[in-house]
Amino acid sequence: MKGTRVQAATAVGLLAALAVLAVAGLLLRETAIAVDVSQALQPPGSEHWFGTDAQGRDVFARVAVGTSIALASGLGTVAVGGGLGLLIALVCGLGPRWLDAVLVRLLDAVMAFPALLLALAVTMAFGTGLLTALLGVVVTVVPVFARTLRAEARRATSEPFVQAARTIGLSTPRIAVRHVVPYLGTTFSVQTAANVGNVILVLSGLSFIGVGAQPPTPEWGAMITDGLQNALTGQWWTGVFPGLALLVTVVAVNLLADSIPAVRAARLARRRGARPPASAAPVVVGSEPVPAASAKEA
Amino acid sequence: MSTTTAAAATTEAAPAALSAKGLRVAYGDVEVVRGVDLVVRPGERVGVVGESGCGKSTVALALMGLLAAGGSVTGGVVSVSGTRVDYRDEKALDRMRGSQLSLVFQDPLTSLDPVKSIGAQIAEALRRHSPRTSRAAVRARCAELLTAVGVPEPERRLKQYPHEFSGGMRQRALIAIAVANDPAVLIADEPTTALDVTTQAQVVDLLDSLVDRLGVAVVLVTHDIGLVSEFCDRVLVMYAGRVVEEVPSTALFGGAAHPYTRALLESLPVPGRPRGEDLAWIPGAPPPLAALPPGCSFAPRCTWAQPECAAGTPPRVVVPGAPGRGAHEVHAAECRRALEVVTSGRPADRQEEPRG
Amino acid sequence: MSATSTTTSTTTRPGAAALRRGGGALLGVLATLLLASVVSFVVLRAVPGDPARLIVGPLATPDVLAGVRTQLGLDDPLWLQYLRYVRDFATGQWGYSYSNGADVTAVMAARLPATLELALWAFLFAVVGALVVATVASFRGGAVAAAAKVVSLIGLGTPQFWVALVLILVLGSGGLGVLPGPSGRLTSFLEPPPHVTGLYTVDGLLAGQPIVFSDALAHLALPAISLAIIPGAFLTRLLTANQLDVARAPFVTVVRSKGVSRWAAHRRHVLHNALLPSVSSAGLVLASLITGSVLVESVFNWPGIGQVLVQGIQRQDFAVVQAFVLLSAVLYVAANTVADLAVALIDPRLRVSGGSR
Repeated sequence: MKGTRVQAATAVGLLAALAVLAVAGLLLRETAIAVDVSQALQPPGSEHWFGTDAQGRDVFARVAVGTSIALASGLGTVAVGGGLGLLIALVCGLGPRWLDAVLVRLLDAVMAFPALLLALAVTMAFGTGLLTALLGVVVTVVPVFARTLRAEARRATSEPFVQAARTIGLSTPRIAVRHVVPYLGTTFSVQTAANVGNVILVLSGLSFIGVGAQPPTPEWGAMITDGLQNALTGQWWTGVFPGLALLVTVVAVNLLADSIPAVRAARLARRRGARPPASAAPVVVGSEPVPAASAKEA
Repeated sequence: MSTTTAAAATTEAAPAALSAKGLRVAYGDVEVVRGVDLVVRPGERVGVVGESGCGKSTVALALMGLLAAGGSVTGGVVSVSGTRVDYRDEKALDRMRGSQLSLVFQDPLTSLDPVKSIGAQIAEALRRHSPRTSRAAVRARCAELLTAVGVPEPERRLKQYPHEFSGGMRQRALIAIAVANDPAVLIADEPTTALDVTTQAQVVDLLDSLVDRLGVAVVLVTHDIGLVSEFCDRVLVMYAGRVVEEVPSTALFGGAAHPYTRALLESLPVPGRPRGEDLAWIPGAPPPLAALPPGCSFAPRCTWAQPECAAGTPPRVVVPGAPGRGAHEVHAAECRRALEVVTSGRPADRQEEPRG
Repeated sequence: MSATSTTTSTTTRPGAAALRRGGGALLGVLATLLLASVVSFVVLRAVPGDPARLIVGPLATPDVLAGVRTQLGLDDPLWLQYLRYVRDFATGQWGYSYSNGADVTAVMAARLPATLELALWAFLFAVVGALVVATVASFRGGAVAAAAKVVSLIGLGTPQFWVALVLILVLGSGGLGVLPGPSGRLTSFLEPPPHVTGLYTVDGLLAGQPIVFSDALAHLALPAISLAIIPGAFLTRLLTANQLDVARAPFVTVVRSKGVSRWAAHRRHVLHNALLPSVSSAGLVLASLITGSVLVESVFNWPGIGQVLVQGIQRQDFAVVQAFVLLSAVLYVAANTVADLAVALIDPRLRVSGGSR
């Protein structure tokens, strides 16, 4: 559908811009932590596009570095968490029934904790800092993937191709890797896209509270905390820009994730060749099936 | 008062219960109903038969003004009990639906709101057109209606929910809803398709008795040609969006005038035929409506076809001497060779090889 | 002419099967809660270093430290510690918050009304907003629906603490000053109304103090909006999708065939059927509100349990964090259970066991 294509294109465009910003951030790492108190709290201008913060650091540079941190963290944690979730899903789907039952209950128990709070608890337990925050987030991501992929894995085991593989004597791990994993591919990518945005939000939330990235690391959440302190005295730029970047990133990822199923469906339909001319496929409620575009028996 | 068109009105005193002339319906730029004429006298039973995709259900929905998104009535003049219907006037359509023109749908399992009681759903039909009726009166009428459609213990049943009714009973409830306000015409779209054979017969009996008792005209839309020949006075056969034959049901089996009707009748399995004999069937498939063949749309599959058939639209040929009940009950078919088809005693040539 | 004969109805005995189903569900809930407590216990015991030190804080004397060690039974085997942990939690002994100088339960109880009020108003905004937008979007379709979808996608991706900041900057003390910025629940010179529920708006109304009511409401506005955005966006998407689904069902066309107008059909049938499945998401909405309150309260100086948690984190007050985290899981499970029960009670299809003919 047209609308979805626009949506996907917008999302990709935004993400591309953010990727560029992230790369810029990698180059601006020095600038981002360069303290210069004489330049403190300068409004946005030609020299400092986003102004400077209370310690004279260039906000734009900090936002850029924050972009690289956010994107890397988001993708990294989802990749790791997703991988672990996939493993658990395979065990649940292909392993003994009792193990599946136990694991499902365990996963549900972990998912009963709101993500932020669970990550918080993990981070506090292991000491604050960016790495432990990432660990905490991974813990929250694993059960989400595990549950969704498990459902798919269970479905896969009743599919003929898996049963066929079993009958020719393939070992279970072999079946898992060579047949089930590719089957789960679509769900995995959809889940990944759907979760990256949330993960980035949680990470920022953690550093906003103060348990994630520690100063001087320019993580967006931490920058917004600083921004709050300056807000009432009128220096809005220190908090607004990082949050804006955060908003744009998460929304772009979510937009992309949302458009994947529709784009996929359109592509599949096109590939099958039976692309019904949109106007000749009336979905008449209640009775009339699609008028003959394919052969029907008399 | 009366704005009915056509000669049908000249011999009868009352206007037609339903009159559609040249009805055209399109979805986007594909025309799925290409000029259909349908006239229903008060208390008459008319059948509309055809294969899936011929447009018969579309006609039903179009007449009600309930086409799905993307569909619209693109031509034709429709009148209900003498009043012209304007399909652009939603408010007028809302007033007409349920009170003058009703529709009974195909699938009773999904046609009722699962979270509202049967009584509430029948009452909704009543209250919509008679808003000031008292609760007690509405309730009484609902019970009356359930009894009329053959549902026992109506007081108890009214409080129940759809999932507590069997398929046949749900269909009865739907019929009750449709006749609640004494409409002039009841359109039944495949009312028996989703039911088992015994229940089918019961529902048809019900429709029969309702016509007798309430005087409501029934338009029965179905693919089951056997059913229409039993129940209906007149039959319209549709193919690729047009009515290719219009025939009184008494004349149907012996003297179909259109090759398609003929082929349909012959494809009915007849008990007593010798074993091992192939069932007759019509080779090929209905043409895509977006890409109709030139001339007669049935020609590619027709065993009577001649080169002229593909040249231009087939003429409407009236078969003389039809034993109809009135001047309006013509027997006509859109086929150059209609008269030959009617008079030929033997079945149409069948192809020897099953796969064409 | 008679209808098909009916089999004996089982409507008169819904009890048996429903009880069995309920019993099974209850066991499931308990199992989840138990496992949640295990998870919580394991995570918190993963703390490197001395849990007792964490509980009492860095300034406590060695005697206090030793006392807490024995109290916690840190020398006992782990399973015993776990059982003690569960027992203490279940009986409301959530430990002592050294940074607040009181029992954790007391601290939470004192601060709960503020969060409750905030969450309730946020929930109200979210639900009303979602209902309106979703109904209009699903009824009008087309461009309106597409716009609503995009807006709710943006809403779902919004960091609540940043929105709070922006709202303060634009509408609050940092900007136009239209609404009170981050200054707690009431303007400083006003006295809170006599305590009935602890919710200033409700108590203010009950005591007939319109000024207090409006002031409390004004102070609630910005934080409640910040809090409402994510659950509101989530509910909008959910309600829109559900309504669009139901609108496609055949029975809706049947309703129209009775002559019922499109809007009346949507209101009476589509909306009604779409609300039912939405109830099951109550747990998710609650989790969102809890998370949100943690992020938003400190921005607005709102004296609720979210702020307690944040302060507890910053002051390394472990008892508070421990109790809060497990509590949130319990609340989530409870909300889901209640929601499922509600659906079972409301949906006529589930009320009758098995279904009769």
